[in-house]
Amino acid sequence: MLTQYIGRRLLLLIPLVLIISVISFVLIQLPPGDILNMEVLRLRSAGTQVSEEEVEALRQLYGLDKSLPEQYWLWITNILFKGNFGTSFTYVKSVSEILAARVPLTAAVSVLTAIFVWVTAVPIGVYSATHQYSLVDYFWTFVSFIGVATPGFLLALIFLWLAFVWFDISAIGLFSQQYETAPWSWAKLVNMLQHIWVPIVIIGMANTAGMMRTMRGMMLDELNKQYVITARSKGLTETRLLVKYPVRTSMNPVFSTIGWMLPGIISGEVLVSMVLNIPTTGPVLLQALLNQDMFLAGSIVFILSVLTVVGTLISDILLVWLDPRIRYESVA
Amino acid sequence: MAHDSLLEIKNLMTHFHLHEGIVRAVDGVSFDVRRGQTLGIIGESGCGKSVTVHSILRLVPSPPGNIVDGQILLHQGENGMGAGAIDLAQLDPRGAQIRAIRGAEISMVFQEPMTSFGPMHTIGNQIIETILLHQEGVESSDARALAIDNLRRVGIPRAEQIVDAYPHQLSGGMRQRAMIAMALSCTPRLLIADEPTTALDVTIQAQILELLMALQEEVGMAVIFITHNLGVIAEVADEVAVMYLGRIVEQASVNELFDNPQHPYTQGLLNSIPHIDEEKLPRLRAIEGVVPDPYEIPSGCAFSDRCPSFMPGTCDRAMPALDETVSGHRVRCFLYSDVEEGLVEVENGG
Ligand SMILES: Nc1ncnc2c1ncn2[C@@H]1O[C@H](COP(=O)(O)OP(=O)(O)OP(=O)(O)O)[C@@H](O)[C@H]1O
Ligand code: SF4
Ligand SMILES: [Mg+2]
Repeated sequence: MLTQYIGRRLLLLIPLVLIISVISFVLIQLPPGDILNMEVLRLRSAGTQVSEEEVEALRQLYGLDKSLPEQYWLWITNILFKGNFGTSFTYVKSVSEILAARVPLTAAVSVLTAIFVWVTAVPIGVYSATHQYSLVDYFWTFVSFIGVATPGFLLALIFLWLAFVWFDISAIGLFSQQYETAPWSWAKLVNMLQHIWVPIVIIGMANTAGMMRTMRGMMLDELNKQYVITARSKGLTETRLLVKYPVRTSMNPVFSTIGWMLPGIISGEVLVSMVLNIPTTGPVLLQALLNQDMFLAGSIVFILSVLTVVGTLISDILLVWLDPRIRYESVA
Repeated sequence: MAHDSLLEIKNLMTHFHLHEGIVRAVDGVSFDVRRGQTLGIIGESGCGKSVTVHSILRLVPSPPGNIVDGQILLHQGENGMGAGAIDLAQLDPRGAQIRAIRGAEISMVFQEPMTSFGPMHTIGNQIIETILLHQEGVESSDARALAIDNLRRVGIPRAEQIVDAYPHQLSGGMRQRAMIAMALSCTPRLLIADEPTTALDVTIQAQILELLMALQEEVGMAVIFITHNLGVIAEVADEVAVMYLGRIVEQASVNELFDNPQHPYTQGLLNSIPHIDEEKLPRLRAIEGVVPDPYEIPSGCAFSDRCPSFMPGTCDRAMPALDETVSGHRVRCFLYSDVEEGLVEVENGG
C-alpha cells in the first residue's frame, strides 16, 4: 500500500517537474530586453564598436533568434538528455561548471538548517506548552516574535559586527583562508563544519521561531485530549507519556512543514549568503537575475525548485509512514 | 466507618483558581466506596462528578485546580481500618506513589471512546504498556499474550488481530471494550467509569453495561460509576450519590433512592424520566431553570433558585447540611432536617 503510494507520487513528479521548468523559463524571460542588449550597451558605453552583424551572430549562437517555445525546448532537452544547462553569459563558463560546487553546498546548508530548526524548535515548543504562562514560556514567546520579525540578513550583519567587535574575528565565508581554494579533503570538511553553523543558525532563526510557535500550539491542543489523561491514569511518568503520546502526535504537522520550510530556507539563504559571503547558489542567483543571465538564473531556479519538490515528497512519504491514521485512510 | 470500605472520601474540596474567580467544582464531598460494590454518581453537567473522580487519581490539572481540603483514604488491608490507609490527597500528583496506584489499584474508563486511546499506537501497544508498567517479571511476549487474553475477556472477536489494530480502525463500542480491557489488565481493586456509555448508542450501551457488571463479579472490584442516565444507575449501582454544584445533596442505597427520593432535586431528576407505562402520554418533565453560573451560586441552599419547595427565610439563609434522615439515607434539605452546614458556607453567601 505504501509502495503504491510512493509509486504514484513519483509518477506525479514528472508533470510537476515539467511545469516547474516551464515556469522557471518563463519567469526569467519576463523582464524586457535580454542579455545581449545589456552586453551591447555595456560595450558601447565603454567605447567599443559593436556592429549589428556581430550582435546578430551572437544572437544566433545563443539561440536567441528562435521563438520562445523553441528556446524552451532546446533548453529543457539539453538539460534532460545531455545534462547540459547551457552557458552563462557573464561567467562565460558552462552553467554546470559554475553550479557543481554550489548546489551541493546549498543543499547541505538547507538540510542542516532544517535539522537545526527541528532540534531546537521541537523541545522548546514542548517545554513552552507544558509550562504554559511560565517565565520560560514568556521568554521564548518573546524570542520567537523577535526571531520572526528580524530579517535574516540583518541578523547576519549584526552577527558579523559582534564577532568582529568582541572576538576580533571575521565570521565571513565558509572556509578558513587556506582551505578556500584547496581541493576537498577531510580537513576541509571539518573546517567547513566549523564555519557552517553561523549561516545555519542565522537562516534557521526565523523558521525556528515559527516552528516553535507551531509546536507549542499543537502541543497545547494535544495536551488537553483525552488520550493524554488516559496515559496519565495508567501510571506512566510525565516525561514518558508526553514523549510517547502528545509529542508524537504533534510532530506530524511539523513533519509536513518541511514542504514550506525548504523554499523559505533557500530564499532566506540568498541574502544571508550574500552578507556572509558563502559560496552557495544564492549570491550567484541574485547576480544572474540582475544581469539577466538567463541560462544561469533559469537553471538555478529550476534545480532549487526540483530539490524543494523532492524534499516535500520525502516529507510527505515520511508523514504517511509515521501516521497510522493517514496510512490506513487516505492512502488505502 | 464501615469495615469493608475500600475508599473513603472525607470533605473533599477541589477548587479551580481562575482569573474570573474561584470555581468550587468539588466543595465538601464525602462518600465511601465498599469493596466489590458499585457507587453511582449522578447529577447534571458541570456539577463536579468528573473533578471528584479525577481528584482521586490526582489527575486534576494544577494549575488551575487544587485539592484545598479533605482526605481521600485508600485502604490497603482487608479490614480497612486506620493504619493501612494512604491519603491520596496528600500524595505528590507526579510522584511514584500515586503512579503505582494508577492503572494498578485504581483504574479509569472515560467517556470518549473516540479519543481515549492515543491515535499513533496500536491498541495492543497501549495495553501492553500498562501491563509491563505494573506487573513485575512479565516479559513483553507474555504481556502480549496477556493483552490478547484481556481483549478476549471483554468480548472482542479475533483478539489476536485486534491487538495490532489502531484505535481508529475500531468502532466506538469496540474501542470502549478495549478501554475496559486496558483498565482491567492489572486487576484493579477500584474501577472508575466516568460516563463510559454516554457516547455509545443504546444497544451497545446495554452490552457494555452488562459486560462491566459481569467483569465486576468476576474480578470482585469496586466501581464508581458516573452517569447522567438514571436508568443506567438503577441497573448498575448499589449505592447512589446525587450531586449538585459540587456537593452531594442526597445519598442512599439504590432501592431507597428510587423508592423514596427526598431531595427536591432528586425528585426532579426522577420525574424527568419518561414513564411509558403511565396511562397518560409519556412526558418528560425537566427540572425548571438552569444550573447557576459557578460564580453566582445562590446564597443559602445552592438549589434554592430552582427549587419548587423553596421556603423563604429558611432556604436562602443558610446551607443545609447533609444529614441522615432514614438509616443510610442522607439528604441536604431543610424539608427534612434543620441542621445547617458549618461555617464554610457563610463566605459562600457573599
Ligand atoms: N481544567 C479546568 N479548569 C477550570 N475549570 C474546570 C476544569 N475542569 C473542570 N472545571 C469546572 O469544574 C466544574 C465541574 O466540572 P466537571 O467536569 O466535574 O463536571 P461533570 O459533573 O463531570 O459534568 P459532565 O456531566 O458534563 O461531565 C465545572 O464548572 C467546570 O467548569
Ligand atoms: S433546602 Fe429549601 S431550597 Fe434547598 S432543596 Fe430543600 S427545600 Fe429546596
Ligand atoms: Mg464529566
